[in-house]
Amino acid sequence: MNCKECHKKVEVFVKGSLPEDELRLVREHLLECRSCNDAFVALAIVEKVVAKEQQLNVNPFLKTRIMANINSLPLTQPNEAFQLARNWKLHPVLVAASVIVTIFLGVAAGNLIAPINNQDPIPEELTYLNDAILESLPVLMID
Amino acid sequence: MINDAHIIEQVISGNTNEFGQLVDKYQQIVFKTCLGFVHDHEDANDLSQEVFIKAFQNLSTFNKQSSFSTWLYRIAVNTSLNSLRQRRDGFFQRLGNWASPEKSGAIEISSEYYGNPEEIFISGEMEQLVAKELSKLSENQQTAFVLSKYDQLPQKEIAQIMGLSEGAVESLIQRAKANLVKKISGYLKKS
Repeated sequence: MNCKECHKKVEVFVKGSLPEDELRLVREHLLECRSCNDAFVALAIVEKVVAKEQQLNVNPFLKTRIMANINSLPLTQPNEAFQLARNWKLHPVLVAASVIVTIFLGVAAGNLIAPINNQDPIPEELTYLNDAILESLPVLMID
Repeated sequence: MINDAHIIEQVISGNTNEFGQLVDKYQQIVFKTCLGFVHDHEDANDLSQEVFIKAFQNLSTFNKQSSFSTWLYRIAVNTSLNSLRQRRDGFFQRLGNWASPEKSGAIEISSEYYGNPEEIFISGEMEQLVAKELSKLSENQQTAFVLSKYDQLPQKEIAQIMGLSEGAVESLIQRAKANLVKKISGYLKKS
């Protein structure tokens, strides 16, 4: 077995899945070839370190810490109505509806304000009177 | 079986306690992902907490185009990588590197492991070496390696998380392994 063939089998070898006859050939080569043996050792080290770390478990109190943190956060979670408004599929409908409502309210508000006209219509005869030529009241009251 | 979509709707509508169900379901995988980057039990727990709080705060932006687990993996990867960048670029880290340059000590391998490399006993020194060389990989190689080896995800799922093709993921994993083997074998010395 040469180095190239040996390197192809390194991962399977480290996992212990090589058939017996191939295993024997690989071991024979490793005893002769320092370079291939170092490569096998290096990969074995990596695999074993990873396997060792994989056995570690999460802190059992992690969930408690997370939920305590979450419950102390300010209330910034959007409620469902706001979420619906943010949904891009509803935006055009909401915009159109708000424009129509705004126009309607504007017209209604305008009609509610009555014109400033609080006087009864003046009789036509009185419009011909000229105040300037009428005698003043005190003169009329002199005996 | 817990329906993630239903729980997410409950949380968004104000029932924040329901988020605990998502924590129960995903805390171990988030922890393993973070551990693959930082290689420290306490740091991985702290990062996991940060990941879940970010997920909670951004839950309304989850657009359901991917699964919730894929989205959560992305947050875990990004949070871990940010943490590593801060450590690398931190003032005190750079000061420490200047004050005490990296030692390049060899690791002695007993001759009994020649021909039997799979029998090798892992020392603390070897664990530190693997962690150090893993952190020196490019971010993409490191991410692909962690998701493959620590989370044992199929390449298809890793591709979805990283936004790459499966071929690119395969290539990243192989290059990561090749780089690790090359670097670590350079430290080995036969006793």
